[in-house]
Amino acid sequence: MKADTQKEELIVFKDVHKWYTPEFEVLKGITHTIYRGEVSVIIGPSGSGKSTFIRTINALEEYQRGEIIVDGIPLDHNIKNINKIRSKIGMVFQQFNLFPHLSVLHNITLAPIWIRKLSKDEAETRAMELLDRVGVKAQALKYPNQLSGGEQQRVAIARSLAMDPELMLFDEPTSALDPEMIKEVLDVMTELADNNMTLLVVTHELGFAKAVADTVLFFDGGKIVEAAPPDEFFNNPKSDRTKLFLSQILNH
Amino acid sequence: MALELQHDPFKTPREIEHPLLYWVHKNLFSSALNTALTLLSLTILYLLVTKSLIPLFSWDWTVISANLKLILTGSYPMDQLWRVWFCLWYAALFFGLTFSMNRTRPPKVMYLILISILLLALLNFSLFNKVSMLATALLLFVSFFVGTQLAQQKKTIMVAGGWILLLPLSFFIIRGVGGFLPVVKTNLWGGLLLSLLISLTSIFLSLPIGLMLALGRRSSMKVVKSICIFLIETIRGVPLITILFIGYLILPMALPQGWSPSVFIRALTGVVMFHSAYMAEALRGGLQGISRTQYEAATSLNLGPTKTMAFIILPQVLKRMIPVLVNSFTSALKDTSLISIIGMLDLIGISTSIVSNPKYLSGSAQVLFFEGALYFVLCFSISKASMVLEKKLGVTGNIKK
Amino acid sequence: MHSQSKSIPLWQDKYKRQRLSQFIFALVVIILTALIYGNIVDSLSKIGMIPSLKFLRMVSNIDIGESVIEVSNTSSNLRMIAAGFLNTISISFLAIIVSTILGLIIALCRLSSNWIINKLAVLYIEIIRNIPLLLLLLIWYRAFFLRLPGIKTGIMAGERLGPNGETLLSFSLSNRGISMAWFKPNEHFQPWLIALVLSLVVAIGVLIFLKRREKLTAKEQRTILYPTLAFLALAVISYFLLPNAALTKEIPVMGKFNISGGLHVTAEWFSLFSGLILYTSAFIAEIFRAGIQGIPKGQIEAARSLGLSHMKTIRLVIIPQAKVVVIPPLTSQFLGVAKNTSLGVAIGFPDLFAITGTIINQTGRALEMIILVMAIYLGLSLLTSLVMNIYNRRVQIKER
Repeated sequence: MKADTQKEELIVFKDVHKWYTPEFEVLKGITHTIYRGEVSVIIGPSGSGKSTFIRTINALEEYQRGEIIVDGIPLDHNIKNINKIRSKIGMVFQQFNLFPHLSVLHNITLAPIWIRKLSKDEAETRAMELLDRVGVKAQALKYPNQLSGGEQQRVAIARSLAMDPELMLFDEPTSALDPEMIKEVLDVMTELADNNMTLLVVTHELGFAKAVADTVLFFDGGKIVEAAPPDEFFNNPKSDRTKLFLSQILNH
Repeated sequence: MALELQHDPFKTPREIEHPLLYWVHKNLFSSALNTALTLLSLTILYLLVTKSLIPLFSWDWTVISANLKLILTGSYPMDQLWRVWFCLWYAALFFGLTFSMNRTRPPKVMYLILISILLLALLNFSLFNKVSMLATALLLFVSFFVGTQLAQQKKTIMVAGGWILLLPLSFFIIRGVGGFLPVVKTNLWGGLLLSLLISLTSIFLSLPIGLMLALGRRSSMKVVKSICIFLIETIRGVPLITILFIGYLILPMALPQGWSPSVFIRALTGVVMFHSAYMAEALRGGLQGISRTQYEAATSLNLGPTKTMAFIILPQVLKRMIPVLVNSFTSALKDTSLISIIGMLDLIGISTSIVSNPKYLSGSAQVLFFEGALYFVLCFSISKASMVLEKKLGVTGNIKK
Repeated sequence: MHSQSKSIPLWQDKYKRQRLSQFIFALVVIILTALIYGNIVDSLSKIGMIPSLKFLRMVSNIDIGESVIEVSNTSSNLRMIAAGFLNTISISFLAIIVSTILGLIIALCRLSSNWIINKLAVLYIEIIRNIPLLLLLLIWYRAFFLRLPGIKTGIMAGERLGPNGETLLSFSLSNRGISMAWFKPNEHFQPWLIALVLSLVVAIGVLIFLKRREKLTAKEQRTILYPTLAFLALAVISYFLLPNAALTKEIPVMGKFNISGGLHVTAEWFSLFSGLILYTSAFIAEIFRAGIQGIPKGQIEAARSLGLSHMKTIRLVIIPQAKVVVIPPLTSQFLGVAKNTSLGVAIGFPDLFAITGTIINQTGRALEMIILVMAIYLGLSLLTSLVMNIYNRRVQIKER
């Protein structure tokens, strides 16, 4: 991450609440700021609201109260704003979500051709560059079902990168992968972080958090319980809940 | 030490010595119940064959040979029949091209078609018809071999375009346009020609209409959703004949003055309405099969609802629905027979008109059995083709690792 | 989402756009409907007809071949419609029961290991599934019944002279239909009817008793066999105990132009019925087969390894699981039977739709009749779906 003097606010959450029914509140007042170039890793028990948190950022989920501002654009039900925000954000899902009826190459070129109005050649050149970058260049003409999980997820990352996002969201990107394939995906994510991409990652991979994160956020019960750089977070957690959670996951 | 198996180790020595006898014993006489059933069914078969099948050959089949043209094309003017042949040749052309995709040698079914055409040509037809039949077979094979030489991409576009154009082109040619081709009005169309045209058109049109209904039914907008549910459930809850009556009686009243739709259009409207509702339900099932996450991925790529539907969702749905679509064609063919009740001379309606001729009064059974055979051959081959298609689709394209 | 300090223009607001689209859509639908209805009323008034239901009370002047209730050509149109409706549901009800049983038998044949039986079943199913129902009906009617000789020369059995010199028959098959001797209720029927109702009550009592015992002792009781036996036994005993016989045997009498008395099944009814059961049973057979074959083989293996006999496996493991899968497609088949009876119009059976057609012909009231008959069919479909849904819910396997 860049030096502190160049900190630029990218995402601002101001007391954001989300509920499905008055009894079932998922986000209970989130206030947090994410800076450009910052790598944030979000951990916490399931149902704590971490996935909901990152899904509100690109409007996959709606929120009922509070304010979210992405790169100066308020996130509300103004379609123009939503589209502008979405064009700056790339998202990678737990289940890869590649389009099974299109080839790998076509998966990546679809959006650039139809939204960014690139020509077919431009889009394909860029796509091949990205595939090379994530290490899946040889599979360009195959179909998603013919690739392994790790390869598919890397293609998914390339697909999001093709739209030149300023921010990448990762919703448990390695949870559906066989253990031997987790490293290759984490390596790609590390490379992105090294190139100053702003990342928000929900994951259980604490090794990744320790090595790459600038900030670790601990979610529990719909609130951010603790947010700190990894050294401080893992060696000197402040809240009891954090201590309890860490003890549960670090000792097996 | 490698074992050399000379025979299947699961078979008993008896089975190996007398395979046929063993099979007979196992399948027909393995237990007391089985033996009784075999004897019973053999008796029934014997009775059926001697009492029903054999007498069939002693019946007088001249009613068929005398009225074959009526049965197949209705009152279509004889001197314009070449136009119907033309459409058949067009279809044969694109069948050949379709078969040539992913293949270098003709599939078995093409040889089957060739043999049946050759057999038919031996029967007592006019020279013109015989030549046309052989031309169809020739065209089929020629287009196949030409197709094997074409590039895959171009061929796919040609084939897709050709099939889509088949129906409008057939309509254009069969109906004709003043000055270019003499017009043959729809009330002269009949028999198998009419049944095929209406069923094909109905499938063709019910797809987009059904799609709109299905999407509307899934919409989050309450008004749209309720109206679509109302339309779909109402049409599905009533017999086809009532929908046909709506087309036949109500449509002329509902249109502005001066528009008097022909019986053909009225029947077609009813049939299309009916099939759109059923297509909508089938598509709804297909749409439900696409997981929500595909939508999410498309949304996060900022693809927008129309582009998501066009590029991501619909291609997947339609691919899965091809067997269903082929099935709908056979049901459409069978359901279309109801237009005979509103007086149209389709395959069934023409049988009534044939036997009203005092000369052929006693031939009603023959005509009905012949038509049964026609329907059977058509529907059976189409459903077998769809089974082959299903198997192919399951294997090609998306191979799971 | 939360309120904004500046307002969002209409076409960019997600919610306002939705509401606007809905509004426009509703408007378009209303305008279209109004236009169409206006055109219809216009065309009708030009021939002097304004939509109204008064014609329902008028005399119908229609003669129909058969009916469950008393009708004649002086009955009102409404009564005629009721007659058609009753014809439709009576034949549908019987057809559903018979075709389900027939379909089950054919499904069992289809699953049999006996090669001939298996292939015969396949032949049957494939032939029926590939021809239209209308054709099947026409074949039964025209190629079978109408080819039979007339009543005087048809197939007869038990022909003899009666006390008054008239000709009596036990059975007749002709191009009019089938007649046979039958037991009919007479003036002494009522006491026995009461006895029957009482027997039914007792049978239900036995059923409740057995079910309670099942719950308390956790031992399986024959909850179908005993109540049925009880009902039948009481019915028969009460019949013979009553001083006057409740039923009389009516023997058909050959008249000048037709046969009177006894049970008479018209050619039309029989053709429609046979066509329906042959057609529907083929589809039901396939549904049963898919349901039974869809049960994972592991279930059967587990049951057998627990020591369950063949019959018990079928009864306790296969059938309950098959029921879940089978009921929704079976429901749509049943609905199909009711709708398919409308094809009776092609062979002259006076079902609901045939009578509708005749009334439209006589009175010209197309719009009103079509709406009325559609509403009736819809109501019938809804009712059947409701009943089947209740049954469906009861058989569902409880899931988390």
